[in-house]
Amino acid sequence: MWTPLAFAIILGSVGLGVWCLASGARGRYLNQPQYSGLLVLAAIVLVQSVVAAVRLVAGDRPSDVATFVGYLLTAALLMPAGVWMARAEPTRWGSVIAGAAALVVAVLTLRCLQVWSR
Amino acid sequence: MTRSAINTGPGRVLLFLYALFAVAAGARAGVQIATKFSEAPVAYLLSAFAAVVYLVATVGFVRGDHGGRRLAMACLLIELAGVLVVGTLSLVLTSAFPDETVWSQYGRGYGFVPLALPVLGLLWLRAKPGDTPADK
Repeated sequence: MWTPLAFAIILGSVGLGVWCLASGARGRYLNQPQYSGLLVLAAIVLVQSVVAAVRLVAGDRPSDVATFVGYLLTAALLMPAGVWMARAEPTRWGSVIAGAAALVVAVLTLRCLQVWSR
Repeated sequence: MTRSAINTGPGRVLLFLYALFAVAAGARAGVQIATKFSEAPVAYLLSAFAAVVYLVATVGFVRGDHGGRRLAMACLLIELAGVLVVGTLSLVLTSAFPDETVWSQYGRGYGFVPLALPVLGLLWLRAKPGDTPADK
């Protein structure tokens, strides 16, 4: 876990999540900036997971490793899954799926931070 | 697919959330049962049971046909009963729940989403009453 990156992920995913949900509420599918943002977020979450995995292997680990890995893996897989499902639903509901995925990533990253610092 | 398909539109949002909860509850129950089962066996088994219900509901939504709809409906009813019963018990009999389950305090640890999901799901299934002879 790299704390500054975790905070960037939390801020970015909350902003992006609210933006996508707002589009859904207005009956619109994702626009290009939102779609690109989701891909960037997915990539950054993946980078964070690799950083955390390297630190875990190097012996720098939280007391509750199993829980941490669970949150980390879920967070890493969630954005690709969310984008894939949003693409399958090119309506306002696709925006809702993407927005929900981004907000859950924020929560998972926050939980990762909490477990990491224990 | 007929126009009454349950796995498009809002149904796909439900499908996504059910898959997420199947993974979240399943992973949590797995970790708890593997590392500290004796601390709160009832709570951890309930989490595992909830995970199975979410998983089967997900399968029902993915199938989206008549059988899938019935499967999802059954899971949503079990889930609603579960979150209401476990949620109430966790408040009344705090000693029986030394650790959290997905359904404790009506799913408070998960932003009350476990309480909202079956309600929204049942409303959605009611709005999509399945194939009628006219659709076939």
